[in-house]
Amino acid sequence: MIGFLRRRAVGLVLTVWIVVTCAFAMMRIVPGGPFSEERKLPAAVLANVEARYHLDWPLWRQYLQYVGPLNLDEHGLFGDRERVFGGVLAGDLGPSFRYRDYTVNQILAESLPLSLALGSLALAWAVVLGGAIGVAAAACRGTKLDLALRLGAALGIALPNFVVAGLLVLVFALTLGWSPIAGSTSFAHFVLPSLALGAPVAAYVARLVRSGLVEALQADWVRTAVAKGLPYRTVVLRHGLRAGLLPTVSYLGPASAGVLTGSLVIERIFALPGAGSHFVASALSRDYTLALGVTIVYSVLIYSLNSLVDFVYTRLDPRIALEEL
Amino acid sequence: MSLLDVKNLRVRYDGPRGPVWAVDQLSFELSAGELVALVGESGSGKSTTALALLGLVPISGGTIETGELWYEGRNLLTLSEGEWAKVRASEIALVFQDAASALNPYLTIGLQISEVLETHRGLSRRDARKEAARALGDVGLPDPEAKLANYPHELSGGQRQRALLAMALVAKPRVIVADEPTSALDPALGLHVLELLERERKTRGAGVVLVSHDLELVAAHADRTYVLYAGRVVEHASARELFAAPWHPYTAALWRARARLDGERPRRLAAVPGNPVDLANLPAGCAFHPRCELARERCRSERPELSGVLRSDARMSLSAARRAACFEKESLALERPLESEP
Ligand code: SF4
Repeated sequence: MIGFLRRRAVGLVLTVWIVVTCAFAMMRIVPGGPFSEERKLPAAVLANVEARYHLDWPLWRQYLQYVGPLNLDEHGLFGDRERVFGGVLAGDLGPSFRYRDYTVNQILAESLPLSLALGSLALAWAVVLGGAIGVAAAACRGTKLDLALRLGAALGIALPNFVVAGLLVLVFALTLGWSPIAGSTSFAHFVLPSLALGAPVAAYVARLVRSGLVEALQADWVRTAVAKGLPYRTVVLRHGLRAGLLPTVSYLGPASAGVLTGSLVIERIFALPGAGSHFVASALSRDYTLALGVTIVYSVLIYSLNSLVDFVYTRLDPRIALEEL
Repeated sequence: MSLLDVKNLRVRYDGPRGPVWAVDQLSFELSAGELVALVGESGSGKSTTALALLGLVPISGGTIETGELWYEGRNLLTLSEGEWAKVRASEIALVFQDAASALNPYLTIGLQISEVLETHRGLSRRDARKEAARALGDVGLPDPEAKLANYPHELSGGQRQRALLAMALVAKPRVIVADEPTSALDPALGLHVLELLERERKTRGAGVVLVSHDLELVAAHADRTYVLYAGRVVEHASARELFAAPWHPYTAALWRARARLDGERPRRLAAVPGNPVDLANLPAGCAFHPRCELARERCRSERPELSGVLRSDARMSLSAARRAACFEKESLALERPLESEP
């Protein structure tokens, strides 16, 4: 266990470093900069602003400063140590280029918790609802109920989430009045957005659980379980489900990272100040530091969740040893 | 009174090339304490018959078209799935062929054995585990207590097969169906498994249906043997009779294949000359005629009935229940002396 965690910690650092390097390079290759989009700044002002953010430095130096190992500061290598920004290794993601009065750390600290909470709720719905639907469909495969559930799942995957969100608002907020329409001041405000966010995930989970379980139920040992006279429920849940869940678990790793970092669409519809909008906006406005910041958050999440998936695999399948991962 | 009485069983599988009848007009019976063997090549219908005895034909994709399966005054083929569940493992148990795939790799051996007792005997988990350990010890596994916590992949092939056997025997079923229980094992272990089955029938009168392709094994252990070809019984005889002289050319060919093996290449699988029967494309008349040395014109168009030999001959006296489905059986029957007769 300790060995597994240690190996994964090393892997995480290496992965994030590579991701940061690539993302840094890619963003700079794309033409345009953070200050070229808006109204034209006079040349002198532009030079001033760029100097403040070190955009006038050579790229290698900007990169080192961003990563932070050399602790470069505004005044150069041996300046007077009045640091604008300490670098990623110091846990400082730098000032935002667009929201001039904020650092990236501040922006993420304000928006991420909301997205994580909303995403967790959405995942909980997705796993519980999707799992139950998938098991039910697999257990009575070939019947009308199975067909109906599969159609529902296909619909859930096909419908864009703004449509789902709109329908939910129309029915539960506007018509029935059971729920507030938008905002983020109470738990009730999170119910509809989390449902809308989780709907496609639930649909995927339902589909994967169904197909995984249907395949698992073909196994010879399931026939053995039937030949032992076990109740059908035991056959499905005890002898089929473990193997049947493996594809779903693999899918949920990366899918969770997406859900936990929020969704621009859902946040707009329900007026939630989450992190999802930063993913899109920062890239469009060439907010270099914010874009890199959300990239780091995302890659840390992806890597950690995939490690979690591997861990869950060893719990589900005794033939996979944690020591070998 | 027989323990198990199968009448006119007919099982259809709908494959991509149309329907095939894996088992056709099959009848046999089993008495308490008896070991009856079903012998044939693959495709003979012997494994399908084993599944049918447990009501497992529907979940393996087949349909029972006709037939009766009498056990304790009930025709089991009329049971609902829920009623079947009470019979399986508790009254009639099946030992599968391949323990590597028949045991669930995700669950411990202990759970897989004790769940049988929890379901059928209403034991608590703790008592069931105790019984499971005893059952593992009974089939000769060393250190059975510790084995309970093992997963199947942590056991050797021979240990797995014996664990599978323990699982089938643990609820003391009155009928044990064993589908090629020895084919994955080396000879010594195979012998051990058969001894365990022998013990069940001798000590508590269980009836055993042994499904096998190995005529020699069957002749050594079975009381009676049904030889199957293309889903039908082609010969039925006591082990002694079969050992002495087969009536059906197919049985004789099985013997010869066996004898050849004993000679030069003992590790190769026994094979009867000619192509194995294609169920989707059954020959007219006697299904064995394309491979039969004795085939006549009549064999190509007319199907021989399963029947005894009419001639009253001294050497036929012990053959009252003996049957074969072949037009030439009388000449075969008289061809060779019954040298093993006392
Ligand atoms: S009936 Fe004819 S073809 Fe069939 S086994 Fe007998 S001799 Fe051979």
